[in-house]
Amino acid sequence: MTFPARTREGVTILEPAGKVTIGRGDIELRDSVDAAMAAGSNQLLVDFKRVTRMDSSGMAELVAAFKRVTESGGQMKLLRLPSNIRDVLSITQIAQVFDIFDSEDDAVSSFK
Amino acid sequence: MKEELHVDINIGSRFDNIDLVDVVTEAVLRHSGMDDESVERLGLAIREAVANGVQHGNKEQPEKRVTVSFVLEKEEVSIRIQDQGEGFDLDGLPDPLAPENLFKPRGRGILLMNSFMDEVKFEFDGDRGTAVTLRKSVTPTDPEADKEDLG
Repeated sequence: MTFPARTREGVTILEPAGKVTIGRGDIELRDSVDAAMAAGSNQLLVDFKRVTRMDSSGMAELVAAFKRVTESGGQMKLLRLPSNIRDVLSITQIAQVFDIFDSEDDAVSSFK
Repeated sequence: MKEELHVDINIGSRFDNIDLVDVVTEAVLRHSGMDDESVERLGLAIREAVANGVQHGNKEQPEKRVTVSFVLEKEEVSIRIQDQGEGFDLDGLPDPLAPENLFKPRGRGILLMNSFMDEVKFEFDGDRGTAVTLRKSVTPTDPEADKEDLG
């Protein structure tokens, strides 16, 4: 299973929903990023608008995905983090790794 | 809080079963009169402890059990998560906040437990498995809960 995805101005926007947690959502995140990269995209934006929870396994996959994308010469950024997810990404200091946006227009423009 | 409460749930070590614990966790924490942010934070801390038991303790063997015991008292909630695994080296875990560990997968679950709870205590017993007890003082925000509590 992979998350729904769409492309805007060369940026692949992944749209997970629900829990990005151990055993399912974390694997879907990994598979979704791998599928986008296999399809030739390394400009990735993950829209968290509909994500309700992310646990440490989801975070581990998020930073692993960031590493794969950046090592391939691409970029991976985050969009519309709910407050609870912004909270845990801040505590774990993962937030400092990513460019984080509240507006899709601003996020997509930042890849240019 | 409406009344003192003691709830146990016992699951086989499958990731899907962690979602069942989530449902019970939310019901118990809401019973305490906690605000939404506290319910989310404690819920995630408890989920991390249960996931540790399923994954690292019981090695995802479904016949091995994880028992979660909630005790809700007037001013404190405590949750004990017991697995049947062989334990782990707590001091051997990487510090997830060290810059060199930022991209390593392990250590964040315990960081979140420590961040969201007042006390996190691990007990290792080779015969019974590993238990982690999480404690948090309760500040009810639900005025109806306070009213009932006062009788």
